[in-house]
Amino acid sequence: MVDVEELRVRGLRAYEVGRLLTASRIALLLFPVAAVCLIESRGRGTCACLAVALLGAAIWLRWRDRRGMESVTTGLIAGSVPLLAALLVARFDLRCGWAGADTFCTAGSVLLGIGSGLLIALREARGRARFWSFATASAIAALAASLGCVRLGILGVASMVVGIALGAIAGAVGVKASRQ
Amino acid sequence: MEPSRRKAIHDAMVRLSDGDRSAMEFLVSELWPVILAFAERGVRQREDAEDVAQEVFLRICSNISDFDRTRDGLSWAFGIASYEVMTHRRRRTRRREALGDSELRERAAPDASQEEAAIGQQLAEAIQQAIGTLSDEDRLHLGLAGMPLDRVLPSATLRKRRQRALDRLRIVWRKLYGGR
Repeated sequence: MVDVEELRVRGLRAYEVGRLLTASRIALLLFPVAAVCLIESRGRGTCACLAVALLGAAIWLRWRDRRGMESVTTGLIAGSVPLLAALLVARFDLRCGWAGADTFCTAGSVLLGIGSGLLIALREARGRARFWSFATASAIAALAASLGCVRLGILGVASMVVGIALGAIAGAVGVKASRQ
Repeated sequence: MEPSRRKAIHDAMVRLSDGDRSAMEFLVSELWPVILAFAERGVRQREDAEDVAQEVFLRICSNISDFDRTRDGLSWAFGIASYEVMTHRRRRTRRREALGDSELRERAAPDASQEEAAIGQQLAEAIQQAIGTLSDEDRLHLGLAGMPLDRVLPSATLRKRRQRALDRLRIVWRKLYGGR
C-alpha cells in the first residue's frame, strides 16, 4: 500500500526538480549572449558578473511561477534591442559621457531604454500585470541591456537603466489611463 | 467521471503548473486514485500497478511546468499513464523472454532430491524431444544452435522471430504431451 504522505513529498520533490530544469533552459539562450560579451577583453569582469546575475535572476524567476516566467520573457525581448545596439556601437570604440560627441551616445542609450520600457509596459498590459511584474521585467531588461552597454562606460549603463525605468513608468501610466 | 470533478482536477493541474504548490495536496487526494485505477486496469497485478501509478504520478509532477493549459488535464495525465503502462508491459515481456531454458535448469539443479532430479531429467528429455522437431532456423532463433544472432539481426526482428519459434515449440509440446 502506498503511503500518500510520502507520495506527496516525493511528488513535490519531482515537481521542484522539473521546474528547475524547465527554468534552466533559459541558459541555452543566455550562454551565447554572455559568450559574445565575454569575447571582448574590455570590461570582461563586469560582463561576467552581469551575466551571472542575469542568469541567476532569470532561472529563479522562471522557477518561482508562471508570472515570473512571463516577466523574464518580456524582459529579455525588451532588453535584446539595446543589448544588440550597444554591442554594435561598442565596435566603433564609442563611450558615453557628458561632453562632445559622447552626449549622442548617452542620449541614444536613454532613448533605446525608453523604447524598451514602453515595450515592457505594452506586453505586461496584455495580462493583469502588477507592479511586481513590471519591476521584474524591467530588471531583467536592464541586466540584459547592461551586458551590451558595459563597454560604453558607466554612464552608458546608467542612462540605459534610467531610460528603461522611464519608459516602463510612462507606458504603465499610459496603459492605466487608457483603461479608465 | 463527473465533469465537475474532472474540471477540479484540471484546475488544480493548471494551478500547480502556474507555481501554486498548495495544489499538490488536492492532486494527491483526487488524481492519485484515478491514476492507480487506470494502472490497475492496464497492469492487472496490484503491486506492479502501484509501482507504475507512482511512476506516472511523479512524471506528471516533474513535467507539469510544460503542461499546456488549453488541453484537458486528465487526458494529458492519461497519455502519460498509457505510455508507462505500455513500457511496463514491454519490459515484462522482455523479462519473460530472457528467462530462458538455462536459468530454469539452474533453478532446479542445486539441492534437488533424487526424485526431483529424476523428474528434471525426464523433463529435460521431453524438452529435447520437442526441440528436436523444430526446424534448424527456429533452433537458431531460440539460441539453441549455431552462433548467437544478437549482433547479426536487429533486436526487434530477433524478438519477433524468437516469439514465433516459441509459439511453434508450444504447439509441438501440446501435440506431444497435451496440456501439461
